[in-house]
Amino acid sequence: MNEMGKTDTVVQPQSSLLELKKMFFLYLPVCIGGYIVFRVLIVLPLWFSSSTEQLSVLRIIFIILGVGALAVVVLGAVRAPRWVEKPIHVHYRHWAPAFFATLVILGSIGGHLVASAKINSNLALEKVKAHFEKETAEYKMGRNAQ
Amino acid sequence: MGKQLASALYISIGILIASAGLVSTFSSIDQGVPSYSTSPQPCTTCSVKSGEVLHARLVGNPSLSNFDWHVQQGRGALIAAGRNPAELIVIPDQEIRWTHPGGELFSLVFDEADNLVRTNIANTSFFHSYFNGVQESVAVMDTSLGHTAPVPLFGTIRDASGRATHVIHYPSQTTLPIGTSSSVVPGSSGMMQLVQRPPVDAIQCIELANRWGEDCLSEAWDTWVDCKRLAEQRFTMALYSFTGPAAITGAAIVGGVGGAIGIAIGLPSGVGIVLTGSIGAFGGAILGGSFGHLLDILNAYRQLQFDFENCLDDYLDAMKQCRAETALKIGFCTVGAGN
Repeated sequence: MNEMGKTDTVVQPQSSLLELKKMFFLYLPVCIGGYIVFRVLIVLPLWFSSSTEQLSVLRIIFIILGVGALAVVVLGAVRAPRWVEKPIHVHYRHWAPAFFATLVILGSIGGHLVASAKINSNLALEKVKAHFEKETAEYKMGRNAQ
Repeated sequence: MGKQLASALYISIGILIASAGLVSTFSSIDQGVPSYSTSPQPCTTCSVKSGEVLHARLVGNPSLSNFDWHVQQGRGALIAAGRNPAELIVIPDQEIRWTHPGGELFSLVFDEADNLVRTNIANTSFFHSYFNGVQESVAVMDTSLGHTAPVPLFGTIRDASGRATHVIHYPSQTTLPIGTSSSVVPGSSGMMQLVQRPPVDAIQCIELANRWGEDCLSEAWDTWVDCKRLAEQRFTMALYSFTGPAAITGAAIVGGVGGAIGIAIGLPSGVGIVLTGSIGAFGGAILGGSFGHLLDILNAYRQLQFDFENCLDDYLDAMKQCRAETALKIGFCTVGAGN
């Protein structure tokens, strides 16, 4: 009991190897999961969207996702504990969401680029198709005029 | 002392690998937009398939020292331009026209028996002869255009199935493989092999010309679709690729930093350094690899834009050519019908 009448929590010192073990099992899934999310975000526009409208919506979603993830990183940095205060696995636990969010930001940028590429492809198709149809109609008109 | 040495060694190796990785990564990035040029490749004996567009620059032959021709062949038409600027347009089964840079045009109109029935060349030496004893040929000497020498004519005319039916060549004594030309002997006459001219019916002829124009247009469209598909394939391949150098860079940097932190916070010098560094390296590889991959995608995106523009330019050029050739064909129909 202390002066305030509360029971003191006795913190047992952890061995460095135990800290590392915790860190390892926390950090590894975050790394792998983050990378999978990153790759999936990039190829997402190829899998699900084909029309320009859908792709435009997807681009907006990517922007929102990227900004949200950026906020997570910034908040993580602001609220990060000082290095000397905590065992190392606590630091890793704290930085894991920021790490994950960084991958989400990168994935959102990639996905945005892919969606833009598909939109450009659609626009190019429409442009050339219109040109082609116009020219073909002219040739047909020429034939009918004979 | 040992700990400091291990730390120094670890960080040095990390920096070394990081430098190599960075150099490798940025050297690949600095390449910028890769070139998918369609500029002509040096070629001395080119074989041409039906419908194929061939560019041939003839170099290195002493007899060609005065000429540096580019030959474009395809869709049965042949267009040649070179250092001695002139444009030859050969229309299969019809007439032959030759445009000079000054705007002069000489046209040759032949009847079914290959008799020259109309030309705007003032002094044309014209005679029948036989080439290889098989196909009928006509030799033409242009003396009206102020040239010190006749301009060489060469090329191949193909029928609808793509079979080479006639060869235009110069000078008359030389048989030339497809896609080559020869030097000009001053004062000599050129030989030009002609096609059999079909009976002319203006309306039918114009209709055929328009139909040809439509086919030409469809071909241009197909070419554009192929071009676009290939560009998109290249882009998609970049999406599924993995970036090695960037991953190594990230792994090395974070591994090195992780090891240094491990030492700084007093983890057991052996296991602690290796484990902290390894886990850090793994995270770094993920981040570094992801960033490198993103740069690859950015590069591929720029390349895609570039490819789209090229495809569009090629398409517009093909359309222009279709239009010009169709107009020419229709023009010949009118001339042939005596209108």
